Amino acid sequence: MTTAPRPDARFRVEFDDATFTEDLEHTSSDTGRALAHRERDKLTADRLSPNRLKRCDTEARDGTSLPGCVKIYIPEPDGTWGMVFQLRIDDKGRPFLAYLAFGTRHPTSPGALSVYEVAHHRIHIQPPQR
Amino acid sequence: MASEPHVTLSGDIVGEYIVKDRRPNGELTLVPDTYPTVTPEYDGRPVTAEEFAAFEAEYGPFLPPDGEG
Repeated sequence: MTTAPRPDARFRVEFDDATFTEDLEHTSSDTGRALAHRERDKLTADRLSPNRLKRCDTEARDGTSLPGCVKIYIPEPDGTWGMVFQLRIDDKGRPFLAYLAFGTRHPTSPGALSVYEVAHHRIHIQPPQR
Repeated sequence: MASEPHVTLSGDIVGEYIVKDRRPNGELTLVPDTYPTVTPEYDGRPVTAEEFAAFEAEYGPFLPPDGEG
């Protein structure tokens, strides 16, 4: 049975402190860190509307694979940074978005990881195959 | 929170390193940058593909993927 979408529905968002801290330690931009903090506060308080969420690719052109994941760009709609979340079900059967990574969408420094590569590493515990 | 300086080495040693110490004479102490090292811990479990589609139907459609990740 198909259920009609609920226009007021929002996803609860959870942040793992150690993960968020590690990402901000690897964000060289003061602006990026400030935006990440502001977004975290906002999402924790207001939850996240599905119409802000973009599905991640199961096979992206950079070799990353993020099934069951969604993302937002910061600032919206097409900002420099991205935040990736994994859709999960808690022990009571309720859905929530689990923070996976924050970072630059298109890093310019040689060897630097994109937010997608970081997220991929965290759910697969290994780097993407290029 | 300020991030630690990073350098990219090329030559006999290649890779990403974090600058742990920087002395007045220019000497640097470097450690390999193994980021990311933290694995997030959350309750529950990731949704299956079927559950993902069901939640999308219930909560409203997500924007389509754009191929970049």
